[in-house]
Amino acid sequence: MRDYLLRRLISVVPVLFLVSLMSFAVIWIIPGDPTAAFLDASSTPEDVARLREMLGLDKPPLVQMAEWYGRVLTGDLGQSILLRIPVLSAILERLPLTLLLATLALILAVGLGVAAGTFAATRRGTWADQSVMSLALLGLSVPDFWLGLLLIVVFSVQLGWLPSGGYVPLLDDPLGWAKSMVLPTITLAVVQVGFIARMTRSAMLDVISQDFMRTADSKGLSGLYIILRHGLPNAMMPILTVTGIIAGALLGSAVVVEQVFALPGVGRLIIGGILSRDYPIIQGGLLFLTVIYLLINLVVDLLYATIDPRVRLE
Amino acid sequence: MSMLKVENLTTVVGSGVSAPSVLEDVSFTLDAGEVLCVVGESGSGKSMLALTIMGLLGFPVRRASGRIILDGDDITAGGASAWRQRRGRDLSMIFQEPMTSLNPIMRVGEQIGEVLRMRKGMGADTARRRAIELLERVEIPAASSRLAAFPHELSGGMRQRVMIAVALAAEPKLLIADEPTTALDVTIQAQILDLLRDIQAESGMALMLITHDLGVVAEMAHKVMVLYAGRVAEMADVETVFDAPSHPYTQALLASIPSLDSGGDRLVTIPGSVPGVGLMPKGCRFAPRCPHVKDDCRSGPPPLAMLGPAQRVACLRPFGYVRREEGRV
Amino acid sequence: MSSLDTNLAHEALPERQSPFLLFARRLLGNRAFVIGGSLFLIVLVLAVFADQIAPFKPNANNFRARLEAPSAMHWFGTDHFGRDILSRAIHGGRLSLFIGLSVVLFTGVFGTLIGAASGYFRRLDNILMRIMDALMAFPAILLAITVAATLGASVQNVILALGIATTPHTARIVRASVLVVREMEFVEAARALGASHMRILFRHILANAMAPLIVRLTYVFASAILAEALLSYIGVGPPPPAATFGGIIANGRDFMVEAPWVTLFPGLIILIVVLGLNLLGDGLRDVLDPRIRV
Repeated sequence: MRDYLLRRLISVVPVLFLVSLMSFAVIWIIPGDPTAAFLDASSTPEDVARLREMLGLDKPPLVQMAEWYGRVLTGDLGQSILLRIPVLSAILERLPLTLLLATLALILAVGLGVAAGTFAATRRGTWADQSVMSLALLGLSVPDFWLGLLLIVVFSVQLGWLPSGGYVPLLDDPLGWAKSMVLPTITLAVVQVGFIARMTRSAMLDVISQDFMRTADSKGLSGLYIILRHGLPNAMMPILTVTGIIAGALLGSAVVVEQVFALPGVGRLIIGGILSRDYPIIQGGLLFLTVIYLLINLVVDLLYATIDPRVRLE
Repeated sequence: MSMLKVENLTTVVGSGVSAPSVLEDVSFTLDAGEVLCVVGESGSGKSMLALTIMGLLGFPVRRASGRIILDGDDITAGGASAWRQRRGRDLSMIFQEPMTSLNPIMRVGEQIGEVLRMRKGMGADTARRRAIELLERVEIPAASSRLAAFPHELSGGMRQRVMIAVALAAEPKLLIADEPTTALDVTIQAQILDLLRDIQAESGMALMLITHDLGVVAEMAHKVMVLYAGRVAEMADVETVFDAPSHPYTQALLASIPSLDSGGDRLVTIPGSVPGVGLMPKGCRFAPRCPHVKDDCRSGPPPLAMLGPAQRVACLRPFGYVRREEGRV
Repeated sequence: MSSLDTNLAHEALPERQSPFLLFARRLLGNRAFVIGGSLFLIVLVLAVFADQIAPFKPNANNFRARLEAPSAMHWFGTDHFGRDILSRAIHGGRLSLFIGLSVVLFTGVFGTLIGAASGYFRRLDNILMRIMDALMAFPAILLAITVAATLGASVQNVILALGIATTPHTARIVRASVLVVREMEFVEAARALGASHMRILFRHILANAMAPLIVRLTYVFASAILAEALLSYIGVGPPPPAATFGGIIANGRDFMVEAPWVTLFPGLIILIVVLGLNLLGDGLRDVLDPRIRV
């Protein structure tokens, strides 16, 4: 197990290298002078020079790259042009909310999706199976930002049950906090519930047809126990794979949902950075979310090895 | 009294009156301490018989009629959940494929232990000690250290021993073994069969052993049932089957055993194959392949008639009988 | 009698039927494919004949008819410039389908090339797949937003952004098929007979990667339409005054209480198109190869 962990950790290194290179390269893809967006007619050549120096653009590309890696490794992601604070602290300040939102949505999506998919698989071909799967398909076909707007209209504007946006810190007002997270979490989870339900159903159908399920049945164990103890763990591999992918998708969609519900998370920071061309924020934010995503997938791989002992041998 | 009494069992595929049958009107009895071997080619309905008795048929296969009486109780009477209560307690089963019949991601100790805990109500410690005993009983070396093994860490023979331990865990009255050695090496086969026979003899349970290997039959059986295309062709004591096989199909099966003294001769085979489900001939199902077929064989199913005290045959012209008749003419 | 005979004839001579006809018949017997195909076809016809079908010009302002509720004249109502939502949605659908199709082409071509090269030429495999891994490590939506935003809001850049975001996964799927097929005997045979690499790759191996690729591309189409709507909602999609689904919804956001139809209808149309494409993909998967998981 320790060897496996080590091997997986090492395999992440080249991907991390490339990811940070790509984050760095963002500034080079942009057509024209990256400083142009921040300067106007009144800017003096000294202003331009100062900004270029701040962005490190006055040095040769290779030196810039080396410096970028050097700074990233020491945890220095630079200075936001607009916010005028270090990128790292801007991100860290907003990260908890984004992670919380994504985690809540992931729990909801996995819980509901696995339950729905398992239910459908055990009732294959019945109307119950077809209704659940139609709902799942509907869920993954919905544009999430639009769904968020509809939920606001219905539950905030019409019914007045829940706030339409904004964040209430947990410690200030626990009930308000819970209320402020409900709609964003649902909005974020709906699409992923559909994906997980579909994947769970097909994985469970594969498992149900296998010999060891018949063995379990021949032991006289109860149907529910067989599904939960023998079926589900064996169906977990593909479900986990999707969960890993979905964790990434959630981080991406969280960006949008934060926008719809006016939540001050990393996503909004990045979109704000993109729209105002605040490159240090874009670079830092992308790098951060991607590293989190890589870590999640590392955890998923380790879970594989925990669930299925055969994986460790590969 | 018989431990197992099967009466007029019919199993069909699909619903409706005209659903084709995979087992038709099968009846037999099996005493405690007895070994019944069920033989036949693939497609003869052997495995279907096992699954029907276990109550493990999966959609769209279903039992259409017939009773299964185990130790005096009709296990078909109480419905699916009562049947489930019987499994793993009164009757259990060993499957053909040891490679796939164990849960790949569950430790073998737990696969045995869950029967003990869930079905016999043992506590975790008692179950653990009992699981070790069972592993020792099936002659797995270093039993206590094997509890934590996963199936993929064991050889095929070892896995089949674990399967036997699982099946024995609840001390069943009836054990069904569906070709338990087919997937194993020849040397291992003999060991597993010896083990099964020993355990059966010492526990006194009834054993129904499904096989297509007549060598296994000679080794293990007290009674033999020959199935052909879902119907009983012949049922007899093991001696009678080998000394005086009377159904043309039984004879053909025996003739197809390669023997050492047959030298360079070609292997004897039965021409043709078992008809598919739903494509059965109207009369005797063996008629299309039977060397002695006459017109009346095709008119209706031949009844399973007593031929002697320990022999019943479903043939209009059972072998010994035919010869005498022809001799007279 | 005659019907029985023809049935028997079919039974006896299955090889008489061309594989294409057989395939088409199985597709038409698949409920998901038929429903999905019909939904998609309706939207496709609307998009192609947008100019003829749309009752108004998509950008025709009418300040006397601002934020009007759905009526016989404006089925889906009007927005804050008095523009007809139905007409804008139809034109938005045209642009959306165009972008979706272009993304499908982009990811189809590049995904196939990269995947095939990676699966077939062992030496390229490691480097290509590490790059794909790194691209896949970025959440796709975020990658698309970044690319679209840094390159500037335009139709081409949206296509490029979504193409880059969807290509790695497609390449992986093609590579997986190629890896399976390249070890098969008929490929060995072709190699032994002296066929060139290119011929083997295109004639023998890629033909076998087609099924998962087609299914994948159908789903890519669906997610491209969703993503395009999202990009234009955020404001990095095709620039105004072009009618886009996301753009109409973003406009409607400020009038959600007094004029919910501005937001409601375009979203419903996105839902229908995407649902149709997903059903189409499910149907194709069922018929082509039920083992495919995308």
